Amino acid sequence: MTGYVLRRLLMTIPTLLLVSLAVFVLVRLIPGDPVSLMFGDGGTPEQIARGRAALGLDQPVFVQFWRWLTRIAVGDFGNTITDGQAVLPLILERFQVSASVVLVSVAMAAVVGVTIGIIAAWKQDSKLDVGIVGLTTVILSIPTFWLGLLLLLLFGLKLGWLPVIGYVPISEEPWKAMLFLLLPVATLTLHESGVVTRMARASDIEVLRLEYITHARAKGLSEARVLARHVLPNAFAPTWTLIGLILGNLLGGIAVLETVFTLPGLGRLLADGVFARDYPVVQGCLLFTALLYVIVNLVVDLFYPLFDPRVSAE
Amino acid sequence: MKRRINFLIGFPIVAVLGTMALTALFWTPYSPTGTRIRSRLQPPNSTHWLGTDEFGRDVLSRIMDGALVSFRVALATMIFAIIVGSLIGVVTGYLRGWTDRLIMMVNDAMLAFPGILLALAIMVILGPGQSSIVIALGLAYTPSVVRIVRGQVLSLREKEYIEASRMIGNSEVYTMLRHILPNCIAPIAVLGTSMFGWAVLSESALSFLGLGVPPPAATWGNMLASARG
Amino acid sequence: MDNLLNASIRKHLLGASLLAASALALAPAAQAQPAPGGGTLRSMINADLRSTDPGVNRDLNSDAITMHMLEGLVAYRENLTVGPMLAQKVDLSADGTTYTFTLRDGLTFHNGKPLTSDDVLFAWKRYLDPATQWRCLSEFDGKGSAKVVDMQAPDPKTFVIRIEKPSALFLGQMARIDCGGSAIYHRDSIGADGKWATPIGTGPYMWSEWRRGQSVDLVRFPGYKSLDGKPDGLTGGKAAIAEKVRFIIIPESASAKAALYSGAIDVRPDFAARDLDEVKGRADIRTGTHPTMETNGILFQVNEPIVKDVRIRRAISMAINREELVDTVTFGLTRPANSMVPLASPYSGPVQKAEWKRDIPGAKKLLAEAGYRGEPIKMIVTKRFMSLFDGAVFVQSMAKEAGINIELEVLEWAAQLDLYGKGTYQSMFFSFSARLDAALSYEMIAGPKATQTRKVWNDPAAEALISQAMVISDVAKRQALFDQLHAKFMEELPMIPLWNSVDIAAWRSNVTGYTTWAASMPRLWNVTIK
Repeated sequence: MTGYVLRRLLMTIPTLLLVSLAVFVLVRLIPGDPVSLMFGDGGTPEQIARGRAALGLDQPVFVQFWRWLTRIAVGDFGNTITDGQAVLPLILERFQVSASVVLVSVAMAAVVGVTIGIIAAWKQDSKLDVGIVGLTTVILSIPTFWLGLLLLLLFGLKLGWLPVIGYVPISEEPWKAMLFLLLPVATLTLHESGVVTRMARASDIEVLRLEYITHARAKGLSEARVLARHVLPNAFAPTWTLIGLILGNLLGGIAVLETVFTLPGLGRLLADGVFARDYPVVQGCLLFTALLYVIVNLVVDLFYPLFDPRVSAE
Repeated sequence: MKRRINFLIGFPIVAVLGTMALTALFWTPYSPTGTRIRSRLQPPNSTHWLGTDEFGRDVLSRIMDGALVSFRVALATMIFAIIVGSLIGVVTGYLRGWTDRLIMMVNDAMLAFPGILLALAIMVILGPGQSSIVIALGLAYTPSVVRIVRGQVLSLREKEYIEASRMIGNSEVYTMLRHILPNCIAPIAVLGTSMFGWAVLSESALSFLGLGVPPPAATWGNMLASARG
Repeated sequence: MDNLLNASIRKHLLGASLLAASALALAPAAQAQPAPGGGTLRSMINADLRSTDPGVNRDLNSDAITMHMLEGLVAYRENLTVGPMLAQKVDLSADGTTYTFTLRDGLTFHNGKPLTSDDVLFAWKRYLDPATQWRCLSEFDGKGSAKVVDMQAPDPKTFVIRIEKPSALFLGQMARIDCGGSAIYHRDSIGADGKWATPIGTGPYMWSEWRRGQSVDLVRFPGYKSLDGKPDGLTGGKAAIAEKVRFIIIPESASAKAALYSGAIDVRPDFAARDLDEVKGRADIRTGTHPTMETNGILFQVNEPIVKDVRIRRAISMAINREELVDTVTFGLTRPANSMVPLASPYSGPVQKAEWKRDIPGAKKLLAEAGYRGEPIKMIVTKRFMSLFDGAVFVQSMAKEAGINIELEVLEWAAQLDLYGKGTYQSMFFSFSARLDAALSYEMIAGPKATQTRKVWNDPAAEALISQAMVISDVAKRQALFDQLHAKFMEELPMIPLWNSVDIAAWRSNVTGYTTWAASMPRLWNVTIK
């Protein structure tokens, strides 16, 4: 097992190298430049040249790449162009915010989605099922930024129950932090439970049709027991994969929600970095999210045999 | 029987929207792009059923025309991702070995990028335009298609009839096109339909970030993004 | 020689008013700060602070925060003329090259140390060091309007700067907000590593806490020594009334609006014109508007195909219904500005204000003469500034009526700025930040394209006129020069100016004393929150 994990981790190194090269090239291909952005409509050519030289941007791209890569290798992600602070601590700090929102939402969405999904499958084609499928269709059709804004206007402004903007770290004031995180978590939970419900419902329906379910029912097992002991465990594998995919994607990318709810998360750091052409930030964030994705995938694969006995991790 | 509900819910929606988009090909109540300064920001009324936007354009006309543009972009994105993704997927799954390892490494690297950001970066590089959106979103979705198709191919190529096709002397290309590709269609179709929906939503997310379909054309995404005020 | 001795010190352009102000400042003025109104005043910025290093690593948000903590020798008044700030008076030698600044008495930095001319010299030496990368260095090292040849601090209260040639704009350049107002800071603002650390200035507020990505807090400076008199731009009477001011970072405009309505912020500078109608009915929100000197318009790259023909450029201009466009885009807040000289400038006279009438048949005739057959003209625009984007969509639709085929290309702001800097575009909708003198407004667009690719207007004759306007101080003579420039500009039309932006702000009804102004920078001193 340990050997397998190690091998998998080693295999990610070329992928990450490739990612870092792609990130670097991609970022430099984006038109615009942090120094001319700083000078705006003013800025003489000499000033811009001096600014670029100070940041090392006048060097050939491969020299810049090598310099960046060798520093990354020793854990130095460089400093931001906009305010000069170290990139890695910044990423970790912002990641805590995104991660707390994403992990809570995805966990809740998994519970809600799997439960509702199994109920819908069990009552397939009933009014309840139609209602559930209809509702998930509606939720999935609303872009998250719009869903977030609607919730913000309803609970923040119209009813005045929850704060509209702001954030405090959970480590400082847990209760206050919950208040601030409630709306973004609710938005994301709502959206992701829609996704999970659909997947869970579909795979539960497949399993419900199988012969051993009929057999279990014939044995006189209660419906609850059939669902809990036979349907759920056997239908969970695809849902688990999906949850892994969602997690891998979201941990690096809820920029839009973080913008709506003014949360200082990783996604917003990355988006702001792109708009400010803050190369070290963008490169660092993308590399970090790629690493996260790889790790989440590995963890998902390691847990997979638990849900699908036919598959072994190795 | 299994598809009944999805059909019940889905068909009316698709029918209404489809009719709207198709009508917009020939006719809309007003020009969807014509600005009329004097009648801007009107609430719904008898002349403009759904009111007008900040440029005095008829909202109903824009929704109809926007459906057309959004669908076109989504459809093109889907086709792009599916064609490119299936080709790569089939080839890499069939050939295996070093080609497979190399391609999958690149593919994994692309998957490891947050999709919307990959699209954002490509959009900024290519410059605005409907074709850029198609390429950007298409490239962002291609890796998932490659993955799924490759998985399917890997299991298919061990099947007896594939072996048989090769034994009777069919070329590798013929076997691939005639026997493997058709059997990948089911999972591709499932992925394709959800991709269509993602593409419409992603276009709106790009519009939210200021990089959607350029004006004056309407899409559902840029209408939504500009209405948030 | 005698003459020079007699009038050893001549009042320059701004000298008279500077002296008047200094007389006031000399009166015994141990004025106490008004009793603090307590509480925290919460304003917003739409992106994080870049740094507090004045005029170096900055943007509009950084300027706004920095100007609450740091002050320069001179500063802009409400009407955008220049008045004394840390200086009690400014004297100019007869030959117009030596400025003598006499510092006010009793000024202290936030760390309690007294302000002396030595501190002024320290800050200025750092500004003029190329390694600092001061944004405005080129205006003081001879590349732009002036060259500083000597700086002295002969006694603790006196600071002397000598420039090579007289310049009508010297003090104005010093006061520029984007230059950090060439603010004077204590040397401990610089860390042991030689880098900028914490701002230690003389302003009404002091640096307190920066939660990156969230908010910036400033606290009241109890030892602030205000100028006498009324509040006046960045100078005049300034009182830190609120105990603390907090700038909250809210990138999304819809969220910012919700924050204002719900009372999560007290002031929202940079309010959207399109929301003004909506808040009119609300008892809890107040608004204010003021015209600024920011110039919005269409730039042409006159080397590019199609638009290199002045007849095409003129036809586009004739196709635009200015009244209607500007009225709509700014929601009736301002009128068209037809010249590079902003409406709010004292040099905006009858010549500059002359109307441009819409003339579709005339435009069509010009197009026919130029042999234009509907070829697409690319126009770049960004969504960063909504009024610009709105304007571009209207212009596109108006031009279509004259048979002009404009294709809008929406770019993200940094990408547009990149093209602007390189000069590689056909046309673009652009916004020039405020230049506070008409000569600078022209200087911003005019220059040799060969060496400065961002320049739009390449005409040596025009550049000569601008250089004259930079040296001459006589108002009538300057007006004549600007009239001449306007005529030349109209003839060549390298750009179509359309309107000047409006500073719009909204605040909650428990806030008093907030005002909008021509420089469009939020000021939270003299503001009370109940």
